[in-house]
Order: sequence, then C-alpha cells, then structure tokens
Amino acid sequence: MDAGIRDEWIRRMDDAVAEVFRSMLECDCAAVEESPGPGPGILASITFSGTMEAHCVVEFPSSTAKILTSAFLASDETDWDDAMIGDAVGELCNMIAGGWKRRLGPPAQASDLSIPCISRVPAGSRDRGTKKPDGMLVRRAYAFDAAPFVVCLSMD
Amino acid sequence: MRILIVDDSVVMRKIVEGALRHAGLELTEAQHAANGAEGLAALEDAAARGELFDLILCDVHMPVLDGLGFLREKSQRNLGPGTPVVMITADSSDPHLLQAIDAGAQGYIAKPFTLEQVQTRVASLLSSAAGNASSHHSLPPTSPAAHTLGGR
Repeated sequence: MDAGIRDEWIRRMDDAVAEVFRSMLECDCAAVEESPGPGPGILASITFSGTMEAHCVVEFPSSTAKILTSAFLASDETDWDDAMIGDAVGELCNMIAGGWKRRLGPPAQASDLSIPCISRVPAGSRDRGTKKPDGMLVRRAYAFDAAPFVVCLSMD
Repeated sequence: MRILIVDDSVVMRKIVEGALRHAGLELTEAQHAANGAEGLAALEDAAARGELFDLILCDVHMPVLDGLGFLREKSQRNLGPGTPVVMITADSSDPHLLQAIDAGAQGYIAKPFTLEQVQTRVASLLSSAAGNASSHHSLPPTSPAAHTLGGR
C-alpha cells in the first residue's frame, strides 16, 4: 500500500473511531501500541459492496465487549448475555464503518454497507485480517477506559 | 407521548429510548420492534385499539423487512397516517436513506449522535409534523448534565 494512502486511511479511521466514543459515550478513544491479548473474543464485520469492495472488522476481547455494552446502556450491569454483547459490538462496527465511509467521499460513498455479522472466537484464534494480493489492509488497536480492541479495514 | 422504535439492535433501541426520555419527552409508551414486519404489526395492533403513535423511529437496514419496505407497506396499508417517521442510520450517504425520505420519512438521525442532536432533530420534526406549538410535544432546554448518552 502506498504510504500516503495508508496514512490517510489511518487518519480517517482514527477520526471515525474517536467520533463514535465522543458522541455516544463522551469518552476518549485513541490508538494504542499494544493489541489485546489472545483471549476469547467477539468479532463484528461489515462488508462494503458496489462502488467499493471492502470490509470493516472490529475485534473485542470478551472483557472489553462487556465494558462496551455497559457503557452503551449506561448500566453497572456486567453479566450481559451473548446477544446483547453482540448487539453492542455490531453497533460499534456499524458506526465506525459508516463514519469511515463518509470520510472517504465519492465514489466510495455510493457503496452499500451490510448488516453487521457477529461471530465468536476462542482464545488464540482471533482474526488477524486478510487481504488480496493487490488489496489494502490497515489493522489498528484502540483503547477506551483502558479497555483495548482492534479495528481492521481491508479493501479488495 | 407514544413512540415506536423499529431497529434490529436491542442496544440501539434502548439507547434511542433513553435519549428521547432524557431529551425531555414524556413517553407514556415506548414500543420496540425488531424489524419492519414487527413494526407494521405494532401499527396494526395500535390501529385496532383506535390508537396512533406520535412518532416512529426506524432503522434503515434490518433483516426480514428493512426501513424502506416498512415505509412503503405502512403507506400502502394506510397504517399510522400522519405519524412522523424519522430514520436512524450510521451511513448518512446511504442511497437507501434518500429513498426512505422519498417514501415518506420526515427526516433522519445520523449515528453516532449526541443527546443534543437527538433533541434538536426530534423537536424540529414534531414541530413540523404538528404544525403548531402543542405543549405536550415541546421539549425543555437542553440540560448540561445530560449531554452524553452513556451518562443517561
């Protein structure tokens, strides 16, 4: 990937992620050096189709996903069921993908976003992101309230 | 005030309901539907009771029946005529959003949103829909203490 394009992707990704946390939760969320450990987790993925073929995947350790769910619902509860946690992670993925798409401008803006697809991953097998030979891939770790997660954007 | 929230995400339905309550709306009923088909069923049930919702908030992309399908069916079946519909979307450049506006939605709220944005948009929408300054739809000034959705 051209370094300039990669930097631009990262900047837009950072902005999209920060916007979601600032608007919905009024908290900071910034890129961090260290990715989450290899524990069990939950993934949400959204596919861009049409004028742009791309994927947005967010990867949450189980503990971070519970924190996110509590934050979205403004609750002290920590014992969420899987469906609720998947919903929260899917919503976050949806908003990050939408924000990133909006920042790309045309013609990418005319592409369609899929409904979030949620999957669970056992310890040690978290998706590392894949790209086609001519594709582009950006994988970046973030943290809010010291809770880490990863966002992966790839374009075919 | 009676509202219907149509969204496949339980989390987003709860967030939206909480945002409206903290925006100052006195909700006597907040009914939730997980897709457009459930939303239509809720409208039919309300009609059978001789009731109307005051506001419908509807996601754009949902399984079973999406927001556009919901709007078209609602119109064809004359369910909840006059009830304003505001779309909720994470993709404000979505072509489906324009189609939804063409199909009868009065506006949209883009995710992510702040409490002030929800308050402003809903107040504007209700004011336009009612065409008057009916007091039960008016919203109080924004409370500085209630700015965050997470701080509900």
